Amino acid sequence: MIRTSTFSLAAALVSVLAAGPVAAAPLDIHFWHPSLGAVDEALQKQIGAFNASQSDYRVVSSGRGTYDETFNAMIAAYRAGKQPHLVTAIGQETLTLQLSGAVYPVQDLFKDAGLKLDVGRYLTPVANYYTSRDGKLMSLPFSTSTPILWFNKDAFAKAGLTRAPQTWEEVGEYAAKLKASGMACGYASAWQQWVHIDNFAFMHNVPVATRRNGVDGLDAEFVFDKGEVVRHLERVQAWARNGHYEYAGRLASSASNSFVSGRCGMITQSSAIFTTVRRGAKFAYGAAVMPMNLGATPGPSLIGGGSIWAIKGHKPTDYKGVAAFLAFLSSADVQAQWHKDTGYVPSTRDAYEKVKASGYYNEFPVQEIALQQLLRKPHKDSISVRLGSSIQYVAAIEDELENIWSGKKPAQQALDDAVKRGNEILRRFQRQNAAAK
Amino acid sequence: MKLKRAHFARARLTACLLLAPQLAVLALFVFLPGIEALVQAFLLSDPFGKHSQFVGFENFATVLASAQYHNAITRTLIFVFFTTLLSMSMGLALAVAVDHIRRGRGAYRLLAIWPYAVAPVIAGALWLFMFHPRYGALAFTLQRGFGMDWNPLLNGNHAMFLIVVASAWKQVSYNFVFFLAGLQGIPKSFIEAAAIDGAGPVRRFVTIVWPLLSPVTFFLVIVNLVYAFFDTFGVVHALTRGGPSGATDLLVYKVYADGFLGQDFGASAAQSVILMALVMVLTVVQFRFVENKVTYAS
Repeated sequence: MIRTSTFSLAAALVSVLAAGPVAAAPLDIHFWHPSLGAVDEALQKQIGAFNASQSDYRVVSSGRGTYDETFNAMIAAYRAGKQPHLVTAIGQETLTLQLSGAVYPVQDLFKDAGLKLDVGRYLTPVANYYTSRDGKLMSLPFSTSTPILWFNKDAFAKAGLTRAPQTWEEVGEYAAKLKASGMACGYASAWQQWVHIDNFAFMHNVPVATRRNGVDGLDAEFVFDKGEVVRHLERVQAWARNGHYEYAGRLASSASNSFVSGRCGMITQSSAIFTTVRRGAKFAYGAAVMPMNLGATPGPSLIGGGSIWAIKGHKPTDYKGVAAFLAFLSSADVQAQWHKDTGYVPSTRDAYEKVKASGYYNEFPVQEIALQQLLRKPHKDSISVRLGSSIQYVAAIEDELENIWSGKKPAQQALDDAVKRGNEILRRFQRQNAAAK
Repeated sequence: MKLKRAHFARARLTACLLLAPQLAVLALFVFLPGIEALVQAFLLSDPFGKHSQFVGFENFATVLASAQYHNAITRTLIFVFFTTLLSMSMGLALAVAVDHIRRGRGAYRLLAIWPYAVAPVIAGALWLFMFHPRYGALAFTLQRGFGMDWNPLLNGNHAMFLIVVASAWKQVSYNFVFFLAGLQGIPKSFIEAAAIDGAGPVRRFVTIVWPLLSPVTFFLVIVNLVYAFFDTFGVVHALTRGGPSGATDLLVYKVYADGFLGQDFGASAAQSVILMALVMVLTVVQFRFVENKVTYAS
C-alpha cells in the first residue's frame, strides 16, 4: 500500500486505486446528513465531484431531516443493524458518540486504509473539539461554525456609531444608542446558551464545568453560576429590562430573522448564517469578533456545527472507500470551496490560507472574522466543552435563561437553578455510560 | 337491554379472518412497541443500547419526584382542558352552521375538513408565522392595534394560548365531521314538532339536538382527550419547544424530548407508561360515570 505524504485528492485516489477491489460495479457508501436547505446543494456538489473522480465507490447521500432526526434515525438503524457508513452529527453529540463504541475513529480509519491524517492541518479549536481524551481525532470536522457579532452598518450610521463594539460594555452602550435612534431593538442573540454561557465562559477562560469542561472525565459538574458569567447575565438582564436586548426565542431562525429584517442592530449568531444574511439583508452589514469584557485576554471561541462520523459494522473493503471520501472532503480545495459556498469555517489552515491568498476576503471580509477568532492562542484550561445529554441540559439551561430575560428570577438564582438541573442530567448520563467509559 | 357488543354465534371463523389484518397491524405498531416501552421503563441504558442495567422502579421514582414533571402535569391538564373545549365547541358551532346551509354545503364542508390534512408540525409552523411576536401579522395587530404586550417567547400564558389554538384548530375539522353527521342523523320531524309547539332555535337545540347528539359528543370527548394528551408534541416542538421556562412543557412533549431528542430512553419510557396509565384511568372513568348520561338512540 502506498503511503501518501499529502492529503491531496490525487494522492488519496492513487492509494485507493492501488488498494481498492478490482470490481466492475462501484461500491455504495451510504452517507446520512441533515437537510439544511441551501447547504445541501453545496454538499451535493462535493459528493458529485467525488463520485465523478473515481469509479470504485459511489457515495449515496440521504438527507434525514434535522440534526436531531438524523441522529435518531442513525441510532435506530444502528440498533437494527442497518446503519449507514457515515453520518453528520451536531457537535454536542460528540461525547455520546465517542463513548458509544459504535464509531470507527477517523484517525484509525485513515491509518487502516493506508492514508495519512495530518491533524496538525486543522485549526486548533476544531481539532480539540473532536479529539478524544487519548488524543485521537474521532470524527472528520466538516460543517464547522462559531458565533460572531453581526451588525447593521446602516443602523449604526444612523445612531452615530462608526465601528463594531469590541467589549460587552460597548455592546450595552451601542444597544442603547441604537434603540434611541428609533430601532425596535439594539441587540439580540441566537443560541442563548451557546453564546451567553458556553462561549462567554470559554473565551474568558472561565470554567463552564469542572474537569476542564468535561474533557477530563464524565464526573464533571457545572460551575458557571459564579463570578463573571453571573455578572454578564445580570448585565444582559438589565438590557432586557429596558428593551435594549430582545430575546429572540429558542429557534435560531427567529433570531436570524430579527437581524436580517432590520429589527435589531446587532446579533450574536453563528458565522454560518453568512448566506442567509447575504441574500436577505436589505442593508449594509458587517461582522466582528465576539465582544469580550473590558481588559480580558481574548481566547478562541467554542465551535459548533457538525462533523462526519464513520459508523462501525461494515466490511473492511467498504471502509477504504469511506476513508477515500473523507480524505477528499478534507482536502484544502474542497474545504475552501465549502467555506465559500456555505459560510462554514474551513476546518484546516491550508484551506484558509488558500482562500486568503485568492483575495476572497477583500470582497467578503465578514467571512474571515470567525477564522481570526479561532486562530487565537487557546487558553490553557479551555480546550472544549464536552458534556453528555447536551440536548437535555441545554433545554434546562434555556428554561432558566428565559427566567432571566422575563425578569422572573435574578440572574444568580436562575443560574444556580440551571446548574442544579444541569448536574442532575449529567449524573444520569454518567450512570447511563458507566459501563462504556 | 342495550346490546353494545357484536356477537358472532356462527360465523366465528369469518369474524376472526376479517379482524386478522387489523389485529396484525395493531400488534406490530401498537402492542409490540408498547411492550418494548414497558421493558425500557425499567432499564437505564446508553443511547446505542449497548449497555443496559435493570433499575427497577427508579426511572418512575426519578420522574415522579422531579419538579419539572409536576409542572408538566399541571401544564398538560390546562392544555388538554382548553384544547378539548375549544376544538369541540368550534367543531359543533361550524357543524350547526353548515347544517342550516341549503346551498353550497359541500364546499363549506370541504373547507372545514381541510385543516385535518395538515401535519401537526406544519400547523405549528403556520401559527407561529401568524403569531410570532417579531414578524407575525396577527401578532402585529395585537401589539399595535390593541396595545397588547404580546410575547409568547417570554410570556407563558401567551405561549400556552398559542399551542392551544394551534392544536385545537387542527382538530376542529374532525369534530366538525362527526357533529355534522350527528346533526343530520336527528330526525327532522322532532325539530319540526318542537317548532310547531313554539320552541325557538335555542330551546330546540338545548332540549332536542344536544341530548340526541350525546353519543357523538361522548365519543369525541374521548378522541379529543387522547389527541390532546398524545398527539400534540409536534405542535409544541414547532411553536415553543416547551418554553418559556417550561410553560408549555407538556407530558407528551417531555416524552418526545427526553427520548427522541435527549436519548434518555429509560426516563422517556417511564413517562410514556405513566401517561398511558393516566389516559386509561381517565377513559375508564368516563365510560363508567359519564356514559350513563349518554342517550343512545334506538
